[in-house]
Order: sequence, then C-alpha cells, then structure tokens
Amino acid sequence: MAASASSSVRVALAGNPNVGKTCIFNALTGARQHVGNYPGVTVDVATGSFGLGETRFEVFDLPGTYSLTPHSDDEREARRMLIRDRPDVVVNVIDATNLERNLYLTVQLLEMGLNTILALNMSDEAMELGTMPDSALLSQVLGVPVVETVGSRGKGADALKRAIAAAAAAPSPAQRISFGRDADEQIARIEALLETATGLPFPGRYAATKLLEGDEEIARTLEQAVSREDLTGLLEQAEMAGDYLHHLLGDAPEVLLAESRHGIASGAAAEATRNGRMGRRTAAPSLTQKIDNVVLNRFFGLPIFALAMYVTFWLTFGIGSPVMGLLERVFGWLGSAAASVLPHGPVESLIVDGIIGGVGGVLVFVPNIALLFLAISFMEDSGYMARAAFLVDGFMHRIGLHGRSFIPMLIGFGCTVPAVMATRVLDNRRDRLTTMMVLPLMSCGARLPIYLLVIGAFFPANRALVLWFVYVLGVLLAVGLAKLLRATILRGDNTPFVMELPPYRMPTARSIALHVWQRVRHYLLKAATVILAFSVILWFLSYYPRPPASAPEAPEHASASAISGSALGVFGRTIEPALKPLGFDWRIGTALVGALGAKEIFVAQMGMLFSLGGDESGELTDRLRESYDPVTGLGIILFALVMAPCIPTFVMVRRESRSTLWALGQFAGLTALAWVLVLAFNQVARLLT
Amino acid sequence: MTLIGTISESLEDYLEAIYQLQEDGGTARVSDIATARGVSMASVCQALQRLDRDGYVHYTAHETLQLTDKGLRLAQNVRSRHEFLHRFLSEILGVDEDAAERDACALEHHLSTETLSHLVAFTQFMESSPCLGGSISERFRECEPTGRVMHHEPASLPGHHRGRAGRWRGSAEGPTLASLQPGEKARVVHIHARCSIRQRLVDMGILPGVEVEMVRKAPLGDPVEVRLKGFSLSLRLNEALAIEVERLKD
Repeated sequence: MAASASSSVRVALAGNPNVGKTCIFNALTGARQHVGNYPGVTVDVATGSFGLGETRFEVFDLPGTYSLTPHSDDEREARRMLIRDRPDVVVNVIDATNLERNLYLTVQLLEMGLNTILALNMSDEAMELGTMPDSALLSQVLGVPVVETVGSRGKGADALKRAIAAAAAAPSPAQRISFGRDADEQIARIEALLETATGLPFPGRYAATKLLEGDEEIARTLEQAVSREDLTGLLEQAEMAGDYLHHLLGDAPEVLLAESRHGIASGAAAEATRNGRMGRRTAAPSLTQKIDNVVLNRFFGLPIFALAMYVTFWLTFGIGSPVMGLLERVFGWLGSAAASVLPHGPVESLIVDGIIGGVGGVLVFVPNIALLFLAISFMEDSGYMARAAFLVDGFMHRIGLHGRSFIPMLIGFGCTVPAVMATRVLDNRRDRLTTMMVLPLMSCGARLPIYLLVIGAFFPANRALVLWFVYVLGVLLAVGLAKLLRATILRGDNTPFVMELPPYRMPTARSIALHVWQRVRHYLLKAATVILAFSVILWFLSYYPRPPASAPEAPEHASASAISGSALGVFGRTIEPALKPLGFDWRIGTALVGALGAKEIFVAQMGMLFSLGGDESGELTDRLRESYDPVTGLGIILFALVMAPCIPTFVMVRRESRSTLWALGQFAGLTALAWVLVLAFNQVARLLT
Repeated sequence: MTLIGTISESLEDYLEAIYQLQEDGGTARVSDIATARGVSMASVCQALQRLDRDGYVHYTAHETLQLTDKGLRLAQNVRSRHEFLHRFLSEILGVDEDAAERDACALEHHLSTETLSHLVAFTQFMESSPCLGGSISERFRECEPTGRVMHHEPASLPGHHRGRAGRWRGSAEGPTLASLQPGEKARVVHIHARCSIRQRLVDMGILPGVEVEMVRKAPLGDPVEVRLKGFSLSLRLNEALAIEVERLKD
C-alpha cells in the first residue's frame, strides 16, 4: 500500500475513549478539519488533512472504542470504516498510563492486518507516575513503530507525521497473533477453506477468527468474496470448530479468544514497562481518587451533581436568553426596517415575516446551543460526565433510560432543540432514540407563554399549582413513554452499563472551543436551512390565499380574516370535526397548527384570530374566558404539552436520529397521544361537571 | 459392511484414520491405513473405492490418498464427536481412560445427532450453569460408586452437606462482585452471563483471574465503581451479580 508522491494517504486514528485522540487529531491536522457525515455511518467522524513533503495525508478520527466487537454502535461503525476503507495507515493512540488495557485494541488492529503505528500519548503523565513503557521495547514486542506524544501540548506531532509517512511508504510486515495451540488449529482449519476467496478486505486468518467467534457481520462481508456453497461449508466448519473449542476449553470461542487477546496485551505491556510493574498506581491515592471521594461521596455526590446541572442550565438559558432576546430585537428591528422601505404587499410580508422572521427564528437557538455545548464539553473533557451518569444511573435506569440521559432531559425544560443535540452524550443508539422520543414532553420554555395565557384566563387563583402540575405531568408521561418504548419497539439486549470513570483532566480551551464550534456549525449547516425552509412554507400557508382586497374591514380585523381565510385557517376549519370532541374550535386548531413553527406563536395566533393587536394579552385573556371554559383551557394546556414538537425539533430529531421515519413517528405519535389524552380528559370532565 | 445413513461406521473409521495419518505425517498410504486399522490391505482398497465413489476421498491406484473437502469435514466432525464423547465419559462420568476411549469409538457412530446435541447441551449446562454447574458434577464425582473418593473420605460425609450448603448460599448471595464492601479486594473466578454481556465485560478487562477492588457504591446504591489494573469502571449491580469472585485478604 505504498503511496506515490502525488496521491493522498489515508490515515485513520483509532484508540480508547479518553486517551486524547482528539488532541492528537488537532495536533496533526491543525485547523483544516471538519465534522462530516461519513457515508453510511451513523456516528460523526471528524476529518482533516496535513501535508508533508509532497504528500497529502487525509486523517479521519474514528469513534473512541475499547474493542472492535460488533456489540456496540461505535465499535461496529469504527470497524466498518476500517474494513471498507482500508486506511493506508492506522494511528493507534494509546494512553501510556494505562498500557495494558489500551493494547487490547491494538491486538485487534494487528489481527485485521492494518498498517498500524502506536502513538504513546500522555507520555508526560506516565513519566511522572513512573510507569512509562520503553517505546523501543514495545515497538520490538509488537512489531510496529511507536512514537511518544503529549497530545495536549502538541508534543511529538512532527515525529508522528514522519512516522506516518514512513509507514505509508513501507508498511510493517503483518503480524500473526497466536491464540494458543487449540484455537490456532481450529482457525487454520477454517482459514484453509478460505483459499478460494477473492478480494477479501482483510486477512483470511482474521475472517477465520471472526467466523469462529460467530461474528455475523464478517460472515455477511464474506458473501461477496466466496461462493454460496463455500460460505455454507465455512460456517459449518466454524460452528464445529467453535463447539469443539467450547468442549475442550469450557467456554465460548469469543470469550476464549478475548482472553487470549488480553493475555497478549498484558504480556506486551509487562515486557515493555521498564520497571516491570504494570500501571498499578502507587498506594497513595491519586488526585482523581481524592476528587472522587468528594464528588461521588454518598452525601455530597448528589448535591454537587445538582449544582453542576444547575450551572449547565443557568449557562444555557440564564446567559443564553438575554443574548437570544438581543438577537430577537435585532431581527425585529431588521424586519421593521425592511417593512419601512419595501412596498406593502406579499413581497414585504415574505421578506419581513417569512425570511427575516425565519432566519431570526433559526439563529435564536445558536446562543443556547453554543453555551450548552460549552458546558457539556467541559464535563466530557474533564471526566465529570461519566461521574454524573454514575450518580443518577440508579434512578434513570429504573425508568428505562441511561444515566447520561439526564442532561438532555434537563435541557429539554429550556428548549427541545439543543436538548436533542445533547443526546449525543449517549453512545447507544437505543438509549439515544428513547431519550429523543420523550424529550418533547419536558415542557420547554416556549410552551410557558401558552400555559401562562391559559392559566391566567381560567385559574388565576392557582397559577403555581396548575403550572407545577403541568410540568410534573410531562415528566410522568415521559417516564411512561420511555418505559413503553423500551418494552416494545426499542426493546433489545440490555447492553451492559460498563463505563470507564476516566482520570480527571483539565480540558484545554482549544478542544472545548472546537467542540462548541463543531456543534454550532453542524446546527447551522444541517438543521438551520431546513428549519428556514419550513418557516417560509408555514408563512406561505398562513398568508395565502388572500382575502379580497376590497373587504371593508377595520385594519385590526384584517389580520383575523386574513389568517382565517388562509390555507392554515382553512385547514383549521377542516379539522374542526376532529377537534370538537376535545372541546376545541377551529380557532384553537388553527393556532395549534400555527404553533408548529414555534410553540409560543400559539399566543400570537390566538390574538390574531380574536382580531386583536400584537401584545394585548390582557384583553386576550378576557376573550378566552368569554369563549371557552376551564375544561377546554386545561385541554389546551394538555394538548400543547403533548402534541407534536415544533418544526425545528422535528428537523433536529430527523437530523440526529438520521431517520425520517423516527422523526415522523414522533410527530404523529405524540399528536395522536395528545388527541387521545385530551379526548379522554374532555369527555370525562364533561360527564362529571 | 452395511451402510447406515449415508456412510457406514467403519467407513467413518477409515476417514478418521486417513485424517489422523495425514495430520501426523502428511500422506496416507493404503499400507499405513491397513496397519492403523489392523485390517488387510484388500479391505482398505475396497473401502477406499466406496469412499471415492461417494466423494470423500480422491483415490486412484498407486497414488497418494487425498481427503476431499467433504471427506475432510466429515472426518473432522467424527473426530470432534469422538473427542467430545471421550471427554464426557472420562471427565463428567469418571469412566477410566481405556474404557472411555473404547466406548467413545463405539458410541460415536451410533448416537443420533439429536441425542448427541442434547448431550452436548447437558454438558455445557453442567459446566456453566450459574447455580448448579460445577457443584453438581463435583459432588457427583465425590459420591460416585467407584469408591475412588469414598475410600479416603468416609468421615467427611457430613462435610459434603456443609460444602453443599456453602455452595448454594454462595450462588444465591455469596461472593459476587456485588457483595463486596467498599475497600474489599477480590479475584474474578467466573462470569455467569450471556455471551454478549460477558464479551462486553471481557472487552473491558473483567475476566477470570483479574484482581478487582470495590471502590464505592453510587449514592442510590446502583451502579458500583470498581478498580482493576489501574483504572476505574462503573457497572450496574445486575452485571456485578453475575461476576463470581473470591475475596482476597489485603
């Protein structure tokens, strides 16, 4: 796989989580990087490049994994990329303070016949701890080049670049990993049947090993390389060999082989560690242990967690909201400026309400997202995130969620859009989907104006109580729905919650800034455009068709007849029969549909539908009281709580779940749930009163 | 020579012999097979012709003998059946070596696939079932009728019961990772879990023989933090319950 001077060399970064892989990536690629959707992969992969001499090196950063078994999403994706793309060089970033566990992944990379280089990262820490392995010895033991690096300070980056170039030019010879006599014998038997295979994207021995482990994904890969009959023969042979080993050695082959890999990793680590003592840290408790004694303390742990969550929430919304308000004012000003120069009519309305309003509606989320990810990145990079999950998992697990789901759920009380993005803290797709699906039930800030309006109209004496009830109801519904999803469509193997509690490390400003920028950029590029398109469409529906221009109405009545005559109003009237049993009329229906753009629009639309001017909410309260009763009022609140999330959330869920189906399912499912709940509530309440 | 199913038992034995010879020396000649099986060369030729006709070997006179893929697979199949039965007889039942070898040879041809697979499943169950597993086969061997154990342990019979009670308590509430108190150290003995969970644990370094220390339980009691090989892991009680350990004195 020698690279000619003109073509680019593809370099993959692999390694355990929390080993400073991102730092190495930054040190290698500098600013020339972006997070892209890697085709066919459901995880984000950062890619970047650097040049050395006349060669360009394309670097892609695989998800951090401990292993390459097909049991978790990240590992499966990382392996797929390694198999499909056959990178010219794989840089395996290793935490030098924790050599043995890190080498377990290395062994698997070598098995795959990948041209591997080890980057012995955090070598400064290992030196301090006195557990620094001898890199020359390690290189000799494993038969691959080893480079010492300190990613956080960019040390060793040049040496690593040179090593990558050298490895690309002259790959180190493939290693043969031995699993012991019995297993090797069985593997050889399977491998012998693979002689006819053509175009295998990995060594035959690797395929044989994986078949022995019952790896279905590899078996599928083989379908292209061997004939049907040969594959059947292979699978039979593999099963037989597996049974044989199981009888002989008393355990399933995948466990036996994993144990061998650990043995190899452990042996190599022991041999390469100068003082012959593996990374068992000295008896004196490390700083991490001291911090954990406080942060995970039985009494202080949860209060500290609550404080951390409060700070996160405050940062996202306490600091974010004034900025949001500022942005809104800027866009309001832009809108009126545009209105004053443009001739009155559809173009003006399109630009002012549709585009400027739409862009403003998209950009208001940016401060929230940036600040939220500032907090999340800090917690992730410092190592606190794993502790947070550790602290609340006992509770979250009982309701069918993961400890880490807590953060998106909390953020959901502020705004669902960044909350959906925050589900990225979850590694497992099922956990992510479950959390995403129930997130809209956390009453977001935009729904507060609806609650306040209706509560003000019908329950002025019990404001706090009713409001509290609505929030609690949302949480209870979310818990119920999460349990339901976990018991039905999102059921599945309960993936064990085996999570590393990594040593605390001071996050670098650079890596946090990079994370924040990546998320904001991702939002702007991937979601904002679609949200904008939807808001223009929604504007269009509420503007056309126009009422006849000659209508002799007072100006403030014009808005009411305009919206009631528009497509939206017509739609509201059309669905009225479906809303009648809920105690709603077409006006509520129209306003609820309009609120799909953003929930708080409901208030403005009700105002327009009652032919009121902009902010006369006091008057609107009276009109509501005249037109409806408290049962309908509670119905509105209930419906607004449960109904389909706003369009930006829909777009975000579609983007983050990478599935239109899930987004549509959520949209339809929650609306149906809202309909059924309010129907039941309304009918029962009317019977009783 | 009567054919049972697709291939007769002695033909299976021939295949096995050829396979063994190929493995030992590389080539199998008719005379070698005759010696190995203790029959005449004529019988060997006759058998080889049948095997050739049925596509198990490539056999033409005066050339070395080659197992076809089909033949190889069958031979290996016979071999692993043989090895399993031998192991079952000698290790689980405690039959002595020679008898186990002889009976394995006889049984390997006559047991139906169904019986064999049930026997395999039973063995697996005996060896790995979390509650009964090792204890039953161990006790069986202790009580087996050969007197091998009995003769030096008649006095320890009450001990059996003590031992048994201990075992049972052990599997119910006893030394699992979950039962360790913060600060206690232990060595992993066995992981009683489904394969996918076990693999996950093994991937993270929890495997038999490894020393672990219980660091703390979460304020809500679940999950727990354990330290091993210089790093910390968090596991749910559910998984910790599946990890059998033996306590270590500090």
